[in-house]
Amino acid sequence: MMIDCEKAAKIIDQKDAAEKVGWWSRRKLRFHLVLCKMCKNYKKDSAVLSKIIRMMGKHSNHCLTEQEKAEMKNNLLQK
Amino acid sequence: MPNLPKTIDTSAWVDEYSDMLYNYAFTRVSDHEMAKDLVQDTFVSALKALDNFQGKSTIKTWLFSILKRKIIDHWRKQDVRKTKPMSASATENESGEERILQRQNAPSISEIEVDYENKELGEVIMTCIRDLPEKWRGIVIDKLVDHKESEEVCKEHDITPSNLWVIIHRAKIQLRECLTAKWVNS
Repeated sequence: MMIDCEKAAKIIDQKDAAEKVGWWSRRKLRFHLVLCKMCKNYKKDSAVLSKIIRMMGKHSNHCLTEQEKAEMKNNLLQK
Repeated sequence: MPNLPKTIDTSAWVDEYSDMLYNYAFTRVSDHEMAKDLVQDTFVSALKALDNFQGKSTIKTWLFSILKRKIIDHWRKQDVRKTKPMSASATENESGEERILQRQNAPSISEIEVDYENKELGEVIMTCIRDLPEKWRGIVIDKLVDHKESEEVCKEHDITPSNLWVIIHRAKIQLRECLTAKWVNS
């Protein structure tokens, strides 16, 4: 029933990455978190980090300049 | 039934798709010139392969699939240049116990209030992701931002499933440290 911190961290990471985690693994994690403050803190941080990472896609908006697009068009015409 | 004319207006392609392709590439390679070259190469490859395009997907999907292959090739070339592959460095240099110790000593970010309209926080996390080793960055984006299947990520980046989770974990530790330095402490 008892898992070590490495295994617990892996389950936390998998859950936060929307990975399917089996009922038994979730139960083992819950049991581990009752006893391990360090992993409990990691779980909190991991949840916050996952939310922040999801923001990244939203704020990622890099564009080419009009000049760069014009150069690209010219290069493609020569191909 | 093919839906793509065999004579195409490349200028229209650039106008319509270059920004989204560039944004996708830049997020993954974090190098303006490299991202620009990858987009250009994508268009060139698409032009060459035009006869093979069967119209089963949209042009946008097709161009993105070409770009994704080019980014993977780019990462693989980067890997070859390194003396030690990233996949090995994620497991061999550090034992599980050391990783746990690293986690224990890391400062907490649980007090950060995540507001999706907070552009500054979004920019900080982008900077932190850009600071990750290149191969980790691609894996983190594919798995945690794009939510790709683990099997697909492992195949694309040529890593084992256990290595995937070691890399994800180590990347998250590094991101937490970066966020603490650039957001919590500033």
